[in-house]
Amino acid sequence: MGRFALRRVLQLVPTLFVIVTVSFFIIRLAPGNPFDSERAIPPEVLRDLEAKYGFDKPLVVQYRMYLGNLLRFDLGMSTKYPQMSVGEIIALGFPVTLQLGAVALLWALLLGVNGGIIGALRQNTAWDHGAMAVAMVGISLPTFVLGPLLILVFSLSLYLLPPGLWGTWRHIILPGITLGTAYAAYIARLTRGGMLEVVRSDFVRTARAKGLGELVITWRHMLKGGLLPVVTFLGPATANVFVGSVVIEKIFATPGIGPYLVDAAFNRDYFLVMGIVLLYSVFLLTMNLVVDLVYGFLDPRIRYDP
Amino acid sequence: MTTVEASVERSELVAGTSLWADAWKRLRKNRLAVLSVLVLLFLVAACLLGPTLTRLLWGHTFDHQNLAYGAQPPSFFSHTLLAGKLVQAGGGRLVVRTPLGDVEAADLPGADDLREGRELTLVRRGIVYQNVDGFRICRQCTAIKGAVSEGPHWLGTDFHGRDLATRIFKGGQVSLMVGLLAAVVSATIGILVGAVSGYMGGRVDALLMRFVDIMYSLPYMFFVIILVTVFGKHLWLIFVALGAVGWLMTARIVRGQILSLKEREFVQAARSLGVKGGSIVWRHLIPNALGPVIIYFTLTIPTMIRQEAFLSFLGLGVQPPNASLGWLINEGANQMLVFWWTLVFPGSMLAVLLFGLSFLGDGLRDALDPQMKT
Repeated sequence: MGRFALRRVLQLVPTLFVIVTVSFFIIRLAPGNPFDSERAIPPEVLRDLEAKYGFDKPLVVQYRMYLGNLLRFDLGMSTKYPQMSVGEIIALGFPVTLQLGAVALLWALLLGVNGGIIGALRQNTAWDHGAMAVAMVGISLPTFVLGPLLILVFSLSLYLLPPGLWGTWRHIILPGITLGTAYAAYIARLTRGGMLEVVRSDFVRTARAKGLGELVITWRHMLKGGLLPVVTFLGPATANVFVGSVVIEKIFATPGIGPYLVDAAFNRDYFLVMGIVLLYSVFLLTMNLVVDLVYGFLDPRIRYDP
Repeated sequence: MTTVEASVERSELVAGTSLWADAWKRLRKNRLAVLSVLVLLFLVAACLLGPTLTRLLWGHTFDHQNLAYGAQPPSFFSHTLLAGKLVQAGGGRLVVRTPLGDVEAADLPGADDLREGRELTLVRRGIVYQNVDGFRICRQCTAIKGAVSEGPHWLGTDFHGRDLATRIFKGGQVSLMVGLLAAVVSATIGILVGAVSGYMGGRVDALLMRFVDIMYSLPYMFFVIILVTVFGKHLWLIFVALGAVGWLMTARIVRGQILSLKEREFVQAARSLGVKGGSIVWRHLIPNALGPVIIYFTLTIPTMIRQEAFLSFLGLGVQPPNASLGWLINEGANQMLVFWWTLVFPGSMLAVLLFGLSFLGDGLRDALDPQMKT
């Protein structure tokens, strides 16, 4: 287990290297530069600016410099917000995105696992069909339809929750629900499927024969096996939740890191784009790793060492 | 087993049930899947024929703006509030005598036949100017509908007075096309990579699958966003970008299928008959691996449509006056409080489209691969 984890961590290094290289060259080979603007900048100023950020050097030298800086955890300076470093911008926005994503995942798990259990325990009843129909609606409804609708109902008609911005726990509810609902639907379907596989297995019958209560059987015995597909799904789901938060943060005017990415790519804010892509990649790779480790914990039949 | 049946069918010796006939039978029994096929056929037909229909019937086009008809609510009729007779035309004044009194209105572009005594209808919420001493906004805020022929807008109009139904059909075309093409691109790449990887095995396989693993753990929407912002917002770039990053799962599926298929007797038979590697893959392995690919393909289309809508919502998709469903929803979301129909109709269209495609994909999975049914 320990060796497996170590090997996976070491495998992250080449992956990240590929990510850095690809995104560096994609954004650099694009037409335009960070100092394109409506007003023409005097050539002397432009030269100074390029010298300040090192854009006057050959691309390969810049690439080597960027890699060197990365090793010192220096993500460079933003060209759009000249007074801030990329690290500072991330430190401002990422905690917000992180909270939003965590709430969304929590909501997705709560709703999805419970919905799936209901569906599986009452297979082929009205409960089951109802839960799965709702799940299908949840999957089909894009977040940017659900979000405005929720605002319309809960903020602008019922005056229950704020329609946007950030600050108190009340601000988190609507964007969290909007972001998490589609994943709740997937999780419900997966949980139902996983539970149905164990619902008639021997160990469940044994547990029932021992006289355990249905609640204990469901939550302690069946769920551990039934949740396996869900755990596999959680890796890519986390990725999608955090990418999806770009749209959510736009709808709810949440001061997260997501909207920066689109703006930064438009403005050719090279280091900011790279910083955000890198941040998300590291985060997602870590989440995938955690999911793999949890998977082994839940299903001891899986061997790590080949 | 599959191949045996397929070859029997090809030689037309016995009328056996092939995998496909069997699947078709199962699919027809699935009422939900049949329903979604019907709904989808209806929607596709509506998207393809709708714009022509509204143009022929009422002269609506997806980009024709008529500010006097800006943001009209849905109606089966022309939006008539008041009808009256033109009592004064000329001298810079248009006066219409209505049951509620005389109303002044302004000439609309295209209203050529404004003689006195003509029957006119007045339309709600037009922007009307009065040409008495300079421009002033008319107190009634009504517009005149005379010689301008403006058919009914069944789903209302958008803020610029464009017929929403026509725009939704047009947007549906764009969304369907992007979804289909991106899914085709991703399926093609996925099948090729998966087939090569599965058939070659060894180091090639390890390398390709390692690459797929790496790609799979990337926030790849970010790369699409960067690609699109950086290289411009052409429609073709969007589906190439979406397709180029969406092939991973197909590659994995095809590889898995081919790994198990290539050990079968019929492949050994083909090889012992002297068939070359390329045609073994092309003629024997890929056709037999197609079932799961088709299932995944139908589920890829809605994903691609949703992702195009996602890009459009961020302003990175198709550009105005063109529309995709995502773009229409983006516009509608900005004004949903006042003009609810601009959000509700495109939103429902997208939801129903995705709904139908997902149900169809589910139905196909149950039909083609009954063992996978959970």
